[in-house]
Amino acid sequence: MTTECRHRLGPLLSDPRELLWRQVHPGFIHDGRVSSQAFTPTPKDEGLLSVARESLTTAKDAFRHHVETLGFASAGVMAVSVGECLDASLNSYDQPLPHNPAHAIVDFRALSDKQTGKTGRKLAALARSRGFVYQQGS
Amino acid sequence: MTGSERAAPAFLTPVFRGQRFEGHGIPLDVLPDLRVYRDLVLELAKVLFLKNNPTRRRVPKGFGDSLRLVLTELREGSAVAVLTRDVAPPEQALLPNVSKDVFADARDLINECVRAAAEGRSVPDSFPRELLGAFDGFGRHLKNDESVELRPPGEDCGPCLGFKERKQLVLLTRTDYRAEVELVGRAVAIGTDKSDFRIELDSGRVVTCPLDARSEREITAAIQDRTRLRVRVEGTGRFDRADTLGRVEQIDELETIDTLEERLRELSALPDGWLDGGGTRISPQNVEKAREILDQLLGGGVNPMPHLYPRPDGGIQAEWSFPPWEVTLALDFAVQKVVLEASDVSSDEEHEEELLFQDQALIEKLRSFLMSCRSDGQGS
Repeated sequence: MTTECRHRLGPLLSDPRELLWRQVHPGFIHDGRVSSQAFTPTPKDEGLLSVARESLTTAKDAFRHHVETLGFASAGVMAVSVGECLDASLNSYDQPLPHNPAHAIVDFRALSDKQTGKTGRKLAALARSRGFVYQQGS
Repeated sequence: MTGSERAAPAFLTPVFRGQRFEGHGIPLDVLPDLRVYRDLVLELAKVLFLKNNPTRRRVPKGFGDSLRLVLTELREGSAVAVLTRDVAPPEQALLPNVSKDVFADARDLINECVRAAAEGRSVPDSFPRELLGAFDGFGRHLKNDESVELRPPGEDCGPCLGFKERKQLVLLTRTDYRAEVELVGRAVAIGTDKSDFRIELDSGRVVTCPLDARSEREITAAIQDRTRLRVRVEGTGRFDRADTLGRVEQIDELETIDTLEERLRELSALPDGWLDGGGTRISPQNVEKAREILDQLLGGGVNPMPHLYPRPDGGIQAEWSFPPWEVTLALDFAVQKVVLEASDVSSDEEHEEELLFQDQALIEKLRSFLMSCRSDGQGS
């Protein structure tokens, strides 16, 4: 995805109850516990954390798209809600892609590195308390 | 073969199926099941003999010796064992008052019993209920996805005894059954008489296992250093009807796992590009540095053992949850720094500290930071 594409955001997501599916890379799991890094954008993400919208796809289909269509690794899907992101001062935006109309992003760009780490810890704790919403074979 | 010798016909051809039998061999672990089978045939034959001879109170002398089953051949096709009788039927028939081959009848009745279980039918009335418990031993060393086909002589198929059939037969007269078990957890206590110890599983359940004198030192060490040592147990467990493990009855293999070393090995095996094409590998020198720091921290009383993750920049991140605190300790090898950050997720409170690897008081400062978070929770 080009930088221009990544930054072209759709409408702000407004339903605080809507869940946002987040793929968890297998490297970010140890003894079943998910790292806060799974909810923190990496430098190449440029402050935008990729997620998929509950209202447009299921956690299982989001997983299959990530693994089978994109060829990326995922140990399963966790979730945070739009409202939980708002509570952490993060806006979420619709960002449909040609091959993935359910794609959305959580915008960390206004946060400093330290605030990003802190927010990642908070979102990860919320997601952990919810547990995996999809794992292969489940 | 000389003229006086003759090939004994097979009494039973058990065909073992499953991954362990694909090499056409039978693991020694499974052989005790064949002995249990022999004992079951013998016990059942005694019952059948006495039923056929209602005036007799006991079986003739030498009855038991007349069934000597031997493993004479292993054939390919998964693992095909051939059991023959060391004493062939004509000789066996010379036993006083044994005019009928009750051993063959017993074999056929066992087969019928297994077939009934496989097909969901009632076991034959002629099968004594008190002998159903033998299935707790026969097939016990098979794993849940393995089975043994009991092929009678002259037939090219027979009923299959697997986990499902065995459990069904045992539970007809008992409230629990035995099966292979593998557990990994933390050893938490040794019983007062030192005959058993307890393992806490990741689910929080505590399971009692037998302890022998040879393992006592190993288990004691695992209890003392439970922050980083886990115990893996393989053996036989006793399960209830709902498949809940009650206790481990016998341990075949016991191993202590150093979880810090195990995780560092996993992290050091990550290649460049481990994060979907991104992600720098962690160099052996950096793994060694992480080992040095974490080893001292854990040795200094910090517990529990943190969860360890790779960082995209080739660093390592340790994390603890001490509710409401979420703590990360990032090892940044490029700048030789430890970055400690703790967030209270129930408020906006935040603590952070950056320390150089070369700081003489590094471990004490890390320990102090972590223990201040621990005062609010046990941690995980």
